[in-house]
This record gives sequence, structure tokens and C-alpha cells, in this order.
Amino acid sequence: MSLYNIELFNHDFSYISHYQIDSISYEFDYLSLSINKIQLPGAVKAGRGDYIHLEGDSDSFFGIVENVTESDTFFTITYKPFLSLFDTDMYMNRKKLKEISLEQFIKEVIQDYFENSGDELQNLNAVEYDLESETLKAQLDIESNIDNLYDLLQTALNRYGVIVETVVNTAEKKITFQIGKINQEEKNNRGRPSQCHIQRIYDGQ
Amino acid sequence: MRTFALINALGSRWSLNDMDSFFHTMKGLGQGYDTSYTRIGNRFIQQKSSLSQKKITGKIRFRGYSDFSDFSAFIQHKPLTLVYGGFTPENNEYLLDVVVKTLEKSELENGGLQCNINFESLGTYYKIMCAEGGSVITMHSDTVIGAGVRICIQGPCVNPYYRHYLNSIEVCSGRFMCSIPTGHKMIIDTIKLPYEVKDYAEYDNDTDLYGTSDFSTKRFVSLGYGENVLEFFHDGSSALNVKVEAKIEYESV
Repeated sequence: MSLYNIELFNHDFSYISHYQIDSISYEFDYLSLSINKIQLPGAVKAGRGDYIHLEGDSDSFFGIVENVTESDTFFTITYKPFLSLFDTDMYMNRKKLKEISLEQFIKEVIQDYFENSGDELQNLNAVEYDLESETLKAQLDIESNIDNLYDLLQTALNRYGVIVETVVNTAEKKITFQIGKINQEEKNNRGRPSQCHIQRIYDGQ
Repeated sequence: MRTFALINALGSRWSLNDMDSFFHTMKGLGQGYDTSYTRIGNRFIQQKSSLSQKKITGKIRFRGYSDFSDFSAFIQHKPLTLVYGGFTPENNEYLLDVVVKTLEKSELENGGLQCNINFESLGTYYKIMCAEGGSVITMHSDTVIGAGVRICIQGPCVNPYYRHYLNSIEVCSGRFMCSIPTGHKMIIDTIKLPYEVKDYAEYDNDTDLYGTSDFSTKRFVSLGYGENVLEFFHDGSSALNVKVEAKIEYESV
């Protein structure tokens, strides 16, 4: 039987612990930050904010640990997608959006908040960016210089088809944010919650 | 004739084919499946199928109360493994990790004590296959169930890596950035859960090496049906000495 390997890493990608299970359920929706859960028969070291990697024969998922609970029979880890990092109010100079592309604007907001914040706990290690398109004169209806980036990303998807995808490379200990336009078909799928809600039950057998 | 025995945590073996304790009238030795379906019209689409837990029942005939008492003491040393064999021309023995759910104590009658016993399995039937050699090890698996392996690499060894080929197709590779000194051994074990990657020194002192993984490699080997070739390398100059144990599992035997 081929099992799913569950690995946990610190914020700096140093390895913490691991376990194996035979099946997982994983739900992802770009427009709502769904929480996933795994139950392990044994205890692992894990804490809020750790990175979790779930890998099977042909599937690989990353997330951020939201909560860890332990009972007599199970060790339960709930985790959120990396997009949840952006679900917070951040400073952004909204005038800049008139001068630079939407993709560059998103990149700079992320850089300011996650690389140059001055807070080591908040900063992410080894971040790279791939800007895959250039959308000029974008309007996100930002009402002040403090706004929720995830809310703006939803607007960016609905209006311009621009998304942020996260690629985590534990071997090279880096996170790459791919910022760019998706094609119309993908946009339709991601932009309508009734269709973009993906739930897959992966069976490791 | 089919033979049964139990092995306990002390490594002692209790034959269940002796006149003092004879296992008979057994049921549940075969296989069953838990299967779910989705119905579309008159068709049923199979959604998921997994091997059911084996629940083996039967009776043990003990000659007297003292035999029962000895057996009862024997099975208290857990974990237990049921040994089942004697039904193939090669006289192979297959193992099944079990727990005893119930052992009923009956009254002494003319034929002795006829005691009902219920086992519940912790897996399915298996046998352990071993191979040892230098940098290339070949093993044949005759089962469709993926087999966990316990790889033992003797030190000295620097940054070991390996590739697993199933029927000549590469299916897995692994690499660890660590040094194993002379006299130590590195264990990469996918038989136990959770998987283990450790450096064992003398007297079984161990150091966890999981964190030395090259996380871009899959690392954990599971043998498949057919010819499995494992090739081992390292960055040092000495020849490698590797031993591989595989837990070859069967739905039933």
C-alpha cells in the first residue's frame, strides 16, 4: 500500500516531524479559505503556523497549521491553504496601482508585509516571485491604504483573472508566489464558487 | 495438514497443533472487502474498496485446566503473531499480527476443555523476505500489495542515495545528507509506522536522521509486483554493505 506522507516544517523550513496515513480529503476553493483536517493515530510535533506537506504518489499539498488537538485516539491537525496568509489587513499605497501593473502591486504589498516588516516572526524566508502577466490601469476599489489583501485578490480574480499561486519547495527552502493571469476557462472555474469548489478524496491504496 | 502457532512478545512459540492445545473449527481465514458504490440507473460504480480486518474465530481444545492456564499466561505477552502454514508444497509459513479479543474458559469434559477464541488482525498475512549484498539488490514480489521495506546500510557511508526500479522503471529515489560512522548502521524503515530513518550505534542508541532528507526525493520504498531492483550509492569511497528486509503481504493465503 502506498501511503500519504505527512511532514511538518518550521517557518524556516527546518524539519519538525512526520507521519503516514492511507487517505486524505482535501478541499480547495480560491474564493473561500476552506480549512482541511487530518487525523493521525499517533502524536507528532506540530504547532500553529507550522507548514504542513501532504504527499502521495501523484498528489502534493501544502498548508499552514491552524490548530492541533489531541484526544485518546487521534491527533488532529487542521490546516489552511497558503492563501490564508493574505487574509489580513496590510498597508498598501493605493496610488501606486495607477503607476505599476496589478501583478507588481501585489508583489510589492507582499514584500512589504512578509519580507520587510521588521518582524522576524511575520517575515517569510526565501521568497521568490514569478510575475507571469502585466495588467495595467487596474482598479481594485481600495478605500484606504489599509486593506485586506485576500479581499483584493478576490477582486483581482473576478475583474482581471489575476491570481496568486504558491509553490513551496521544502528541498530548497523557498516559497515562490506566481502572480499572473489565468485563462478564461480557469477564471470561470475559479470565479464561481459553485463550480470552483473542488473536493477530492484521495485514497492511497 | 494445516498448522497454526502463536508467537508472543517474548519470542516464544506456542503450537496450536498439539493434543494439549489444538486449534480447530476455525472461520475467517480468508479475505473480505469493504466496498462502497454509487448507483447510476442499474449500474453500480465502485467508489472505494479496501481489505476488511480479519476476524478469525475457532476453538482450542486444551487437555486440562493447567494447559488453559499456561496458554492464558502466554497470550498476555503482547503483541501476538499467528503463524499459519502447512498448506503449500513448499510448506511456507505466513504470519498475521493479531490481538485476542476473547478466550472463553469452558468446563472440563470428557474430551478436555473446548474453548472459543476470537482473534482480530492488525494487518493481513505476510512473510518476511531478506536480501543482502553490495550496491545492487534484487527482490521479486509475487503480490499486488505494496511491500514496506527495512533498508539497513552499514557504516561507513556518506550521503547515501538510492534508486528503486520496478520492472525496469524507476519509481522512487531517496537521498540523505548524513554520515554514518563505522560500526553504525542507517535504517530506513517503511514497515513500521510512522516511517523511520535512524542511525543506530552500538547498544541500539539511535539518532533520528529524517531531517537530513533531501526533500526533493520521495525516499520511501514500497516494493511492487514483479522484479524490484534497488541500487545504492554514496559520496564516500568505501564499498557499501546493504541489507533489505521486505514485508510481503497477501490479502489471503
